[in-house]
Amino acid sequence: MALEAIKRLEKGTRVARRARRNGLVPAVLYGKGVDPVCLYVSLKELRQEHFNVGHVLDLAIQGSLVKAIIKDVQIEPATGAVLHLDFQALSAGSTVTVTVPVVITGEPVGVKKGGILEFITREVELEIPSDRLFEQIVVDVSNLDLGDIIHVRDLPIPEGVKVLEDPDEVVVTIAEQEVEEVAAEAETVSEPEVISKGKKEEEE
Amino acid sequence: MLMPKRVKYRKNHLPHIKGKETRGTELAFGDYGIQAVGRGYIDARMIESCRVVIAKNIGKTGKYWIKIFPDRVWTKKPLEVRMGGGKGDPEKWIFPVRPGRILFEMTGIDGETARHIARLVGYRLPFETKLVSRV
Repeated sequence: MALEAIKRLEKGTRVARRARRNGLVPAVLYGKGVDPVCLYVSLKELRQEHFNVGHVLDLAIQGSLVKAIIKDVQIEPATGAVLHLDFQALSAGSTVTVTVPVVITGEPVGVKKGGILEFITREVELEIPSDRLFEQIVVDVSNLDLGDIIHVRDLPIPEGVKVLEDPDEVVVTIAEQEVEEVAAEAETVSEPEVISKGKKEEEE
Repeated sequence: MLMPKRVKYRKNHLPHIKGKETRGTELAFGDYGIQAVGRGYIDARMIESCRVVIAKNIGKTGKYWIKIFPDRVWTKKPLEVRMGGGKGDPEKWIFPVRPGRILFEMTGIDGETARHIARLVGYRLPFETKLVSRV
């Protein structure tokens, strides 16, 4: 189902705030061979879609249908309200740079032995042909033992996709437990060293 | 308790806590985070108190991160002293919190434990907080 979008002719903070109060989200559509166009999308319709960054959808802009990818979502940190969306139009034969989330499945052997699963790289930047886009990379971690590491180069990435991350970057590892002090630290009254003090004395 | 090792000046202006937070508003390491809803100054003793309660409740498989550091000083004049005579002496180390800031992050625990810890941490802070998760 296509996401309905209305062309936005007015710009500015006041207009955007008024629109948000009325359940509309300001957005922009751009891309190769497409003139940038300002839009409004309905928040209610958007909530029904899976509107994460990297999601591909059809935009119905006043009669014409455009295939686009969600490039950016601006969210208000304190309330979680959606402030603005960026759509990038997809043209056949082109590539898109997308941040794809890594999803892990299974319970690692190392965790059963008492280790801690450290999920370090949660998303990777990829250059993907626009006709072969995917929304997540699923990694099975059930065979990971204590000290085992999955790097970016070990990820199941389809052919034709260029990885823009460092291949040696750690994605998941099983670390051993560190025993940590629980007791409250005693209150210290000492003051830190003041850097500027010594310098002044030298000048005099 | 958390405090800087070296500082350039002994006293600083009181940091502003107006507006909403723009940095440190998303989960960076863990699956759960404790996010500030209100605003205020959090001092090293409060952070330590929260750390203790998290460490006690997180269990063996859990891990946590403290996402803030109190690097600004709060000064106070002695009691029964008239106004004037310069700025007071450093009393404690603080961090300015605006709505949206993630204060602590946790991983390796279930939702029930995370909610329990978030409630206990909330009691120890001078503003409202909420639990955020990746799911």
